[in-house]
Parts: sequence; structure tokens; C-alpha cells
Amino acid sequence: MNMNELIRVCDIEKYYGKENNITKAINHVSFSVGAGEFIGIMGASGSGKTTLLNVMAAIDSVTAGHIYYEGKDITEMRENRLAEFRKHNLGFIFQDFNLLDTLTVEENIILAMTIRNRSKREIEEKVESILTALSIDDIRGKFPYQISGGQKQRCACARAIITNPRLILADEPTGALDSQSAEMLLETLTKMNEEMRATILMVTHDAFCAGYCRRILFLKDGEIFNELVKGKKSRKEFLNEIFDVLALTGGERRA
Amino acid sequence: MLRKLSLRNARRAAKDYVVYMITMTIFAALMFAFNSMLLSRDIANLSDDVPMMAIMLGLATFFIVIIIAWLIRYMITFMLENRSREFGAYLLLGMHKKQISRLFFRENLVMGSLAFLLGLGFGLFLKLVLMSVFYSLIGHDYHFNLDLNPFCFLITGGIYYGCYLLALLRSKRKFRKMNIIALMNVNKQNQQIREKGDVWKQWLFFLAIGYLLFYYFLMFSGSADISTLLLLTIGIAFAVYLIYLGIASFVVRYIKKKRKGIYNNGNLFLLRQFSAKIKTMPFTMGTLTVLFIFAILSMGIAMMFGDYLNKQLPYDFPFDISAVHENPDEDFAELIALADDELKILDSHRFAIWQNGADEMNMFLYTNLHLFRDKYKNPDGSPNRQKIIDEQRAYHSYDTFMKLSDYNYQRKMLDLGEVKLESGQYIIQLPNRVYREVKDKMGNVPLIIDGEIYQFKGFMTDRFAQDGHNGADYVIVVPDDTVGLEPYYGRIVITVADKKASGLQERLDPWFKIADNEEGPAEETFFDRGFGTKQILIYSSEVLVRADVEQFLKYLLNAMVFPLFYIAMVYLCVALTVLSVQQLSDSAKYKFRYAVLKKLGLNQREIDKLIWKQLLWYYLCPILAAVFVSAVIILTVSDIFVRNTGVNTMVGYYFGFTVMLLLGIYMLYFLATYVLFKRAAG
Repeated sequence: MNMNELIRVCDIEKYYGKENNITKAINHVSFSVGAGEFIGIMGASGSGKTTLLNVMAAIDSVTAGHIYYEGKDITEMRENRLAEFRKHNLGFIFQDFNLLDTLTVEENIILAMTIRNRSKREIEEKVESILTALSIDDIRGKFPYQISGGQKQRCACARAIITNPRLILADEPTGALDSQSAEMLLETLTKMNEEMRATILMVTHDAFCAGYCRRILFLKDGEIFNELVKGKKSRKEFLNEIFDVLALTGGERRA
Repeated sequence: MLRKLSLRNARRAAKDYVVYMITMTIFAALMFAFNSMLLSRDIANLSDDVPMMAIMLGLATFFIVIIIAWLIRYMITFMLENRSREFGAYLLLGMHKKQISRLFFRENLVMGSLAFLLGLGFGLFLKLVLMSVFYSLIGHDYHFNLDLNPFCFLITGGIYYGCYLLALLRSKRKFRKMNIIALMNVNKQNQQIREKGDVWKQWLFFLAIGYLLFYYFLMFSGSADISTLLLLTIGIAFAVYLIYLGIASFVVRYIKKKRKGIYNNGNLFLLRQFSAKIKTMPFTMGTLTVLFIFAILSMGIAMMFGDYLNKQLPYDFPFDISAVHENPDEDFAELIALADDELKILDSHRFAIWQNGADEMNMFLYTNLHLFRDKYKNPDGSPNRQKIIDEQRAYHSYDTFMKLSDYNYQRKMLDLGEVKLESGQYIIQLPNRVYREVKDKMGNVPLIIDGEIYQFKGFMTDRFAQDGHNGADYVIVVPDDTVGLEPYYGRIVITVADKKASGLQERLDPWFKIADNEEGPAEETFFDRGFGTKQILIYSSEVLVRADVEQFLKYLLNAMVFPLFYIAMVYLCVALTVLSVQQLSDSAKYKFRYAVLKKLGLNQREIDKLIWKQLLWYYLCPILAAVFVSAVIILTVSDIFVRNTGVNTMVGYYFGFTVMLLLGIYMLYFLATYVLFKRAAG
């Protein structure tokens, strides 16, 4: 095992359906995620990327294979332990924000801390700093219906990172945003990754979005068929490489 | 096609609003059963003079119809709003408003008719149960009689469908005003929460609580007169509405001030859910609380009358036949002959009540009983005799005495043990309600008969007919050899073989009146008899035939108890239905919220706990407010009731038992809602 390795996905499979009507959503997929990585999973619709995210988030089970978080196999855990695991290790960012409409921006973030039974003092300090860091302190008292999509998604980011999770899972986080808001959000994610040392796994079908990642896994028909690493390349160079790979798979191009 | 669609929609709605359907079924059943009692010839025959049952049930029906009409209107408006997007889609597809309105009308009629038919079936059974309970309560045998009165079906159906039609006609007007965009946006409007400018509203909450505490103070301290209290009681309803207008703002302020409580697990989520819900429906929550208050009051008062029937009635009328006459030597020959002829006399005792020409005991009671307060006290504490003579007739003019042998003979007739007295001693026989008030003082009143001071031996509180027969409120029992007493009035007590109601009371009343009329109107010529200080439930006559009086009083009281229970049950079910439907219809919205919480890391057990708490807060809010408000009213009324009727019951019993009973039904609805909600939102 790599010293820096956070997650190891070992030969996982996920099938849907029964007997003669089986769909292989994930087929023999293996890879590792290092601590502090910003990794993207790309693929066309139906390639299995969301299923992969779901099994890694322990909200869906695998048909075969294992997923290790720092050596602990989450595919062997029971429901209650999985819930505890999610609570203490994962943060989520969804396409449709998933903010609670009866809570203000600030309260949505506080809630993530209170259900982890943190102290009032710790919550207040952390919420204050995250609101400032993600530039949403001026809308802290607003309800989700009063703010823009980009602001909602930044609130979701703040909620995901405030508990210091080992891994942040982002499922098409820019899917419901206009291009300007999407860019701001991606800057935010990069900041979270670089300055706050957050490990991020982002599922997207958008090349522009993927260009912010440091490594990308390409999925096709449930299998990994390519991998790109940004390394020292500029974002533009990296984006061109992504387009080249997508040209082979017929994925979406947007820039 | 439209017919098919309306039938399918009705089937779906019946499933979605199963609690509402159950309540409408219960309502139809209750209404049918009680209307059957109202129109029952058997019950009408029980009392020719006083159609009490019909009057009370008619009144109850009136109050119930108002509330049921409100429920149906509320539910129809609620369904209309919940399905507004669906109706918007129909309009987009090209349907006319009239067609949609007709579709909705038909659906509701199908649902209503289904509940009505189920209710009738259940009501037939309920009627038989109620009739047999009623008959056994008034001591009659009930002969199974289906007695299907077509008029009863007509009235029940008329009221039921009348309520529906009124509500549906109103919904028609709503349909006329609708436009597609408004229909599509109804759900979105609900989600907006406005908080600015709400700060002042939290003071309404404190204002209302302050008003209730002030009301509590006035009720318990007794420092306000009845008319002021009644006026203040009406103000209670306003206070309840103010509580709900203010409580949401209060909770929001609590959250915004970041009090410690919000940092505890899911409290922040629960508090926000709670305040958002209350904020959107303060009027409904207020109305639910008022309904619960009415239910508690109705049931509490029904309990009091029921308790009187069970405990106090046998205490108040211990002798089979008991009579008084102004002539101490009256032989009661005609009464004896008639009673023996009709009921067969087993034992009888004729004797005199005595007086000593003094009224010390009477004066003591006029100045010491809670009923009179300080009304008859001079500034130095002594009795204001002139005022008492001018205004009061509670007691006879003189203190009343009974010879020990007469006392013991009556005790023997009542299966009570013999009492012994030494020469120069006396005991006071009095009912419990008076004993409770004077036990520490009355024995100290000096008793002097013919110059001799008598020594007080103690009190006896057995049942002893002391509403003007064996004294009024009390009688002093002295040894037979006591000298210096004068005969005051004549008495007879009789034990008979046939204990069943025979109508003898009615036949004896004129006999006594004729006796009085020989010398003029009864009230003027009959001696200065008092009736004691019993209040609320008084039945007084020179002659009392227990079985007849009991049957009459049981009929009269049950005619109040039954409709009060009827009101309580319907109000309770209506309020619980609204509570339940409110939560269940929002379950889709909650499903999303709980799914988010699950993604945030809550496990199923924690989610279930949150759902439980959320429902509990929501359910507890109106019932706690209702219990808080009705406690003071019921406890005060119970205190007056217990003190004035003499029922040997703790004051808090009626309130406690009522609340327990209501909470039982409450729990059933709560658990049903919890299970359905968990299934829908989980």
C-alpha cells in the first residue's frame, strides 16, 4: 500500500437486475486515491460514474470487490457502522444542492456540525471562518430560495468541508449552474483542495469542469479505459488532452 | 373518461387521506347513533314532561355540525391546494374549469359517500351499544330493538351531505378564480419564509402567556366575580391565537440568537421545521387548540355528572321513601297506605325533628361556609342576623335536633352501625361536603339546651337525607332523655320490597300539595323549611320516592352526559384529523429533507428519532396549550362541583382522568400518523 494512499478500490463490480436481464454498471474497476488529491471521474451518461460515486460513498453496495479507506473495508460494514463511517469521513456536494429549505445558509452549515455533536464554541469558530473563506458571509442569514444557484452550491461546499471529512464527494456539482457560477465554484473547490488540504472526488461529464482536477479517470461501459494526470501542465494543455480522450469516447465537449 | 378519472382520483385520495376518511366514518357513525337516540320513541317515552335528551342532543348536533362543516371545508381547500399543480396540468391539456370543478366535486362526493355508508353500518352497531349503555345507566332493561327510523337516515344524510355541499360550493368559486400560473406556483409559495418585521410578534406570545397567568391568578384567588371571569374566559380564545402568532417568531428569535439548545444534535432542524409549520398556519393551530379545550371541558363536565350519578346519588337519597310534614304528629296514613299498596312496605319509622328555640348552629354555618363567604358577617365577625333573616332560607328557622333512638332506628334501616351517647353528650350528623368545611370549628359552638351545656362527641357523615328532611345540612343528635326541646316537624322513612321505579313519586306529589292547599299556597303555609346549601344538582320535595327520583335524575343527567361525550369525541377526532393530515400530506417534502440528513451522516435510528420528535412537538403543542388553558377552568369548576354537590372525589380527578382518556385517543392518532409518516418519509 502506498504511504499516501487514502482509498483503494479493488476490483469492484456492481450489477443491476436479475438472471437474464443483468446490467453491469461497474465492471472490474480498481484504482487508488491519495490523500489531498483532486480526482475527477469522467464519462458519458450511463458509463457508471454516479454508481461508482455511490458505492464509494457507502450509500450503495457493491456486487463484488472491496473498497478500503485507510485499510478499512467499507464493503464489509453493516448499516449502522456505515452511517457512522459516512458521518465522520465523508462530505457531499450534489448537483441539486440538497440544502434544507427551512434553514438559512448559516444554519445549513451549523446543522452538519450539530449532528456530529460538536461544541457550540467549535461550531461558531469554524462556521465563521468557512463563511469568510468561501465568501458567503454576506448571505449567511438568507434562505436557499433567496440566493442564486452558485451561492447555494458554495453553501453546500461549506457544509461538506466544515466537518473536515477525509473525502469530499461531488456529484456533477456544476450541473445546475451557469458558466460564471460554475467557474466560481470550481475555484472554490480548488481552494478547498489546495489551501484546506481537502481530498475531492468529483464526478462530471463536463470537460471544462474536469480541467480543474489533478487526475482524471475515464469510465466507459462501467470500466476504466483511460487515466490522465495533470502534472505540471497548464489547465489549457490539460483540457486539450481531455478533449482528445473524449473524442475517442464520444463524450461531451464544453469550453 | 372523466368519470373514470374521478373514480381513480377518489380511490387515490381515499388512500392519501385515510385518517380523514376514518374520521368522517366515525362522524357519520356517531351522528347516526346519536340521532337514533334523539328520535328514539323508547327514550322519548322515558320522560313525558322533559324532552331533555332531545334538547341536549339537538344542541350538541348544532355545535358538531359547525365543526364538521369547518373540517370538510378545511380538507377540501387543503386537497385543492395540494393538487393545484395537477389541476394546472389539466388546464394546460385543454380541460375547462367547469370540467375540473365537476371532476373534483365528483371525487369528493364518492369519498364522502363511501365514508357515509361505512359510517351507517358502524353507526347501527354503535346505536345498539349506546342505547344499552344508556338504559343500564338509568337502571332500565333494554330490549334489543333495531328501530330503523327512516327520518333518522334522512336527518343524518341531510346534515352530512349539507356540510359537504356547502364546502364544495365554496371550492367551485375558488376554481372560477384560478389561473394556470397561480395553480402551478401554489406549492412554491408555501416554501417562502419571511422573517423580517416579525420581531414584534414574539411579544404576542409573552402577552398571551401573561394573560393566561393573570386568568389563573383570578380563578384560583377567587378575587373576580362571575361576569368578569366569563368575559375573561372568552378572551382565552384570543390568547390562544396570539400564542400561535407569537410562538413561531419566538422560536426564530431563539434560533437567531444562537441559544445553546440549537447546537444539540438535530434540534436546529426540528426547531426550524416547527416554526415554519406554525408560521404558515397559526389560525389552524389556534382553532385546533380551541377544539381540544372544548373537548376537555365537555368531557370533564360529563365526568362530573357521571361521577355524581355513580357516587352521590345513592348518598343523597338513602331511604326508599322519605317524607316530612309541618305537623310533628302527622301520621302519614295515606302515604303509608299508598306505598304499601304499590310497593309493599317492609319497615317504616315515624318520628319528630326537634328544636330548642335557638339558631346558634345555623348562624355559625351562615358565617363559616365558603358559599356565604363574609356576606353575613358583621365587622366584628359576629353574624348579621337581620340580613340573614331577610335574605336566607338555606336552613330552618331553628337549629334541628333528633333523638338518639330515632337516629339509630334510621341507621339500622340503612344497615349502619348503632351509635351510643352518654347523657349530656351530642353528635352532629352532617353530609361530607359540609363536614369538610366545618370539621375544625363546628364542635366548638357551645350547645345549651334548657340551661345545660352539652358536650360535643363527634361528627357522623353517613348518608342521611339532609336536604330538608333529616335537618338541612345537619342535625344534632341528642340522648332520648334530653329535656327542653320542642317538636318541630314530622318525619317518616320507609323501606319497601319493590325497589323499582313505579311512578309513585308523581302520584304522591299532588297528595302533599292538596294537604298544603287546605290552608293556602304551599310555600306560604308550609313551615319554614330550609333545603341546605347543596347547589348545582338539587331535587327537593316533601316526599321522596328514591327509585322514581333516581330514575328521573339519571335520565336528566345522562341526557347531558351523552351529548357532552358526543361533542368531546367529535371535536377531538376533528382536531386530530387536521393535525394528522397536515403532517402526512407534507411527507414528500419531508422525504427529501430526511434524505439530505441521511447523506449528512444520520443513521436510520437517528432519523426515526427525529421523525418521532418532530411529530411529537407538533402534536404536543396544541394539546399542551389546551391542557394548560383548560386545567384552570376544569379545576375551578370541579372545586365548585365537589364543594356544592358533596361528591367525595379529589378535585383534580376529573381533570386528570379526562386528560388521560383524551391522551389515550390522542396516542392512537399519533402512533397511526407516526407509522404512516415514517413509511412515506423514510
